[in-house]
Amino acid sequence: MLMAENIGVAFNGLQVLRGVTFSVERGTAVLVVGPNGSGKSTLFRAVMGTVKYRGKVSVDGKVIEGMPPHRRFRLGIVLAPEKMRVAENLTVRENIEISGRFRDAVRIFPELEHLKNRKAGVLSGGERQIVVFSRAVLSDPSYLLLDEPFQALSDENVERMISEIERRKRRAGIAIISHDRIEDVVEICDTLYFMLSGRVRRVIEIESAEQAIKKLEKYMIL
Amino acid sequence: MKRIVAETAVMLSLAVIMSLSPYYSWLFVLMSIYSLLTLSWLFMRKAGRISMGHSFLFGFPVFLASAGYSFSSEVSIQLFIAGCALSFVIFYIFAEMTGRTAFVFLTLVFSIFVWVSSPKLVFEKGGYLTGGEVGFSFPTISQKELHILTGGTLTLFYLIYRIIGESRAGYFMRAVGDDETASKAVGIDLRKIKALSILLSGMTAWSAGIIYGLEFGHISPEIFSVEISVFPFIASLIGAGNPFASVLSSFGLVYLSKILNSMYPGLMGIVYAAILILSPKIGWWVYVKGKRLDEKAG
Amino acid sequence: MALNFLVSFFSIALMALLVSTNFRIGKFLNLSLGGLFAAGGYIAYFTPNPVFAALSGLLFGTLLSLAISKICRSVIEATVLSLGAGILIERGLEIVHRSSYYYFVDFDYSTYVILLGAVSYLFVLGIYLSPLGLKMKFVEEDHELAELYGINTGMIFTVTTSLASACAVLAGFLSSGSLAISPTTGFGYLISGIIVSALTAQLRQVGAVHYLALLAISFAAARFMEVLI
Repeated sequence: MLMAENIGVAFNGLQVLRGVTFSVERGTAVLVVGPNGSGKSTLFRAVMGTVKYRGKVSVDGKVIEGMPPHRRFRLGIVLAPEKMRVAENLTVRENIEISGRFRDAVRIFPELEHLKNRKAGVLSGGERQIVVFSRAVLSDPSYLLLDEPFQALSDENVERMISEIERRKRRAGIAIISHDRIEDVVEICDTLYFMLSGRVRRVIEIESAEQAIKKLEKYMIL
Repeated sequence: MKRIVAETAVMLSLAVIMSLSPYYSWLFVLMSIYSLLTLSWLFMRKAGRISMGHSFLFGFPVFLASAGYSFSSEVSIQLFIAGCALSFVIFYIFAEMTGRTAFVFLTLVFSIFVWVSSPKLVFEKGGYLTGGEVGFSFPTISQKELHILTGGTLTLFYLIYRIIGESRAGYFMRAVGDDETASKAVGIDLRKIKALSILLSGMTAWSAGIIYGLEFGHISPEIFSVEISVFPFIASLIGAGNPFASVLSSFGLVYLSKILNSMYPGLMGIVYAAILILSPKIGWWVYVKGKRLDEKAG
Repeated sequence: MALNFLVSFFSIALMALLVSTNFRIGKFLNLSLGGLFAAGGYIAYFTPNPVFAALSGLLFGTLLSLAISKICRSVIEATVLSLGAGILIERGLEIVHRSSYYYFVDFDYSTYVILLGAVSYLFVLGIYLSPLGLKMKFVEEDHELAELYGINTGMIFTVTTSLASACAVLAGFLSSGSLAISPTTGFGYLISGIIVSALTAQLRQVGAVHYLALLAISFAAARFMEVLI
């Protein structure tokens, strides 16, 4: 299990996360939702070790305090960062091959074959998003943290992505931050975290998508 | 306003007290030159540009003037004016061409380039070679005249700095220094503000350069040295970015350099190096202190 | 004549390589390289042992990279720190060896700069053409992204800074025979390296292509840059 306990993060004296506890088990998926500025991305960054935080993060019972991000990656935690972050001067192929075989990515998204020699900096938003997603899943993570993976994607690619997440879920724990396609994502998730102002306000165990959406609608407009 | 008057009074009192002994008068002139250099740097920083090559703005016109002085006073004056114009244009182009980070690098590298290449300026005059690493001679005036001139110049530019800081142009400079994009969005003409800050900075540095020439009667390529370039950065760091504290820290640094270098030549260089190495640690403290002092001053 | 040109070309190309690797991988403009070059000259005068020169550079580079990782948060802070380190070396040399400003050594190994330059370029190109090359390109592009994908950027930064510092001291050591050694000897080399490196960066290439371009531009610029060194 990937467990973050009582996580606190402050930037320049401003408290962004306040005692957040969050966990994901292998074989399950969790959805993290909340308005902008609620601390969702910061929570993922704290788990990955790219921001300083108070609290405890453990993976499969092993506490990973003070571990730099590259060592967390080697323990199987992978973050697909937000804002379609790619290495802009490298080709699509190079961007993906840092974590696995390019042909495996082409199996998920066939259009990557035509884009392989193009520099990632000139791709459209949707194209960048499939590069970011492919790079994350190809490293065969034990725990996969996806930050806004569905932004700017076509319906077809959203479906491909969701089916890939379902497939990966059999072996890995997956946590997703999303503002888009919540109805579809809830279908494949087991738990829903609702965050507001740097705190987890509600944890909803998903029995059915309708029930989860109904509960969530009390807190936000979907 | 009271504060500005009090600060000016302190500077004038120092000028009077230090005029009583020839050594302290000489030291006061030297301290004032470096204080002017720091003020010049602060003008540019106000508009968000950190120059690490201020020795160029300070030294270039007077270096050309000293080369011209080998021929005649008229040539010297003409070259000085040309040097002022050229150094202004170069810094303005740098500010237009680059962002904040690249400006730091470009000014530093450019000043080192000028420092390394200026000894190549050698010409024959009356059968003798002049220039090179030795440099050129420059006219001098009496110590008393120099003391009055320096005290007056420092007071004048300090008042200009403080008065402009409180003016509309000063607020625009601060706005540009805080966020160029936001300033543009509210209708501030970035080019004009950048040009104004560089011009004010240049005028202060050029005056300091002339006084430097008059003080030593000689200008060598060492006027472009890295230590002169980084001096205002260090003085401002110690002065927490506050103009009055930065002027005082410039005085203090010059005095300290005299003491340390008399103990062992070059020792002050080690102090500069240590301050630069620790500058990232001091940085946050300076930011907070500077803001507080600026608020109090405002 | 041709040999002199080759020495100048490789001296400039080597300094450009050191500046470029430090900037692209370490994300700072290493202004201590000029001081390290001068220190190499002094080592040649006082302890003519190239191994000692290389080891001192390696040690200095390691300390510099640790200091930067520990206290710097931006490219400007790291650059200013390296400038301070450079001034520290120069002033240290000036204080310790003040008896005469210029030193001259009675041997001339300057042609070995060609070998050092060639080996350094082959080493860097070899790395970029090997499986490690992709990791290096990621580090050049985005430190955090590289970390997120398992690359130990801290280690790569330390190794790069240390090797570059060792190379700078060794270059100064080898060039000493053709120089009047003084604390500011290295500044001309450093500036030439920065100019060539900045020109090459305009081509916006990555990896091996960038370093080949660096070599080509050093070759083209060597004649003009000779004035500075």
